[in-house]
Amino acid sequence: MNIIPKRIIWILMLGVVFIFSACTGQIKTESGVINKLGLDSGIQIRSHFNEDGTLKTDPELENAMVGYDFRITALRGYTADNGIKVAQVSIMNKTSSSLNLQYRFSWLDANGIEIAPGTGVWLTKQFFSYETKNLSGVARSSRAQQVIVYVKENN
Amino acid sequence: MKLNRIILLVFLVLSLVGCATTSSGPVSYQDPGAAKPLTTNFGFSDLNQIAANMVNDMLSHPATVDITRSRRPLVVVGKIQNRTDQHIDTKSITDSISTLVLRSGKFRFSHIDSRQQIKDEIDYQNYSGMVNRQTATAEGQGIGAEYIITGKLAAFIARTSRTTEKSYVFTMRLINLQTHVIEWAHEVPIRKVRNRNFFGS
Repeated sequence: MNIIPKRIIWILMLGVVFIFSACTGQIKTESGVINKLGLDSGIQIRSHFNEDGTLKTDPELENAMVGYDFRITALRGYTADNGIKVAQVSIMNKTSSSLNLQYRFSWLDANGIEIAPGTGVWLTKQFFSYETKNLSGVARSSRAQQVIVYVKENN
Repeated sequence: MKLNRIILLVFLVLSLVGCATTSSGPVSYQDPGAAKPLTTNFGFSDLNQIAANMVNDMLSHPATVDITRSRRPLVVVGKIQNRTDQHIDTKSITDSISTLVLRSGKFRFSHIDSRQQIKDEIDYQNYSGMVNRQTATAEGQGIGAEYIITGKLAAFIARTSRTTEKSYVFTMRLINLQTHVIEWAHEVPIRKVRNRNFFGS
């Protein structure tokens, strides 16, 4: 009576779980929030700088990347001597083909208010197969305390 | 009679098609920060890409961090050479960059284009007899710039029967006016490729 073997059903179910894991969802982390916005809209990582002016990669980041064609392997940052904060995100193309990504950095002050809203632009970067690149963003003011990184595929 | 109807029908269809292709569609607002190039020519999204990359480097490079650690140096933006085959308003690029850098609070700028207007206004305040001398802005109080920004925009074009590739390189330098030393320089390359469709252009 069983037309479809149980093993196939399990594989199909796992596939559905895998596909939906790239859909929307929010993960609260020690240093901020990771918002999964779906395959088209990508991912948004909000993270605050530590008191010593650094930003460390959140361990939750790796789990959040399931389902995407790219993996953000690190988000780190520092504060330069002139008070300007710098964030750097490491992104890896998980596929064997070329991948075009768009990314944007947005900066917030200690109260969570965006600095220079509307001035952030989407930048594009091409990744060859399995290539990893480091992309940097620089705060537009020394008032910045938090960074939001948006990464999505360039459709 | 039947032929006339067919001709009339064909005419109607053609006129409707003509309307559909020549009339302009609805207009909508789009995100000015979106990176969506439409042609290989230099456009607004290229300006955004260059400005963002240039400002990132100018604010965080060790050399500029060093000179902005405890003060806000005064900078004047010089001429940007356009070495492309296009008419590109290079002032728009430097205006965009200097506005973003100014808003960071790390540099101050002296505006070359406003100098004549400033002089005219100070002359008016001091010599027209229309302004109370006690409130008039004194002459000769301007501050001399310490640094000048210069640069150039170059383009490289490669074409095959199916592909057009245009690359732009925007270079900027921050030069110490007293010592003539280049304190900082950065270049932002942009590469745009257009593949022709099999049919049409």
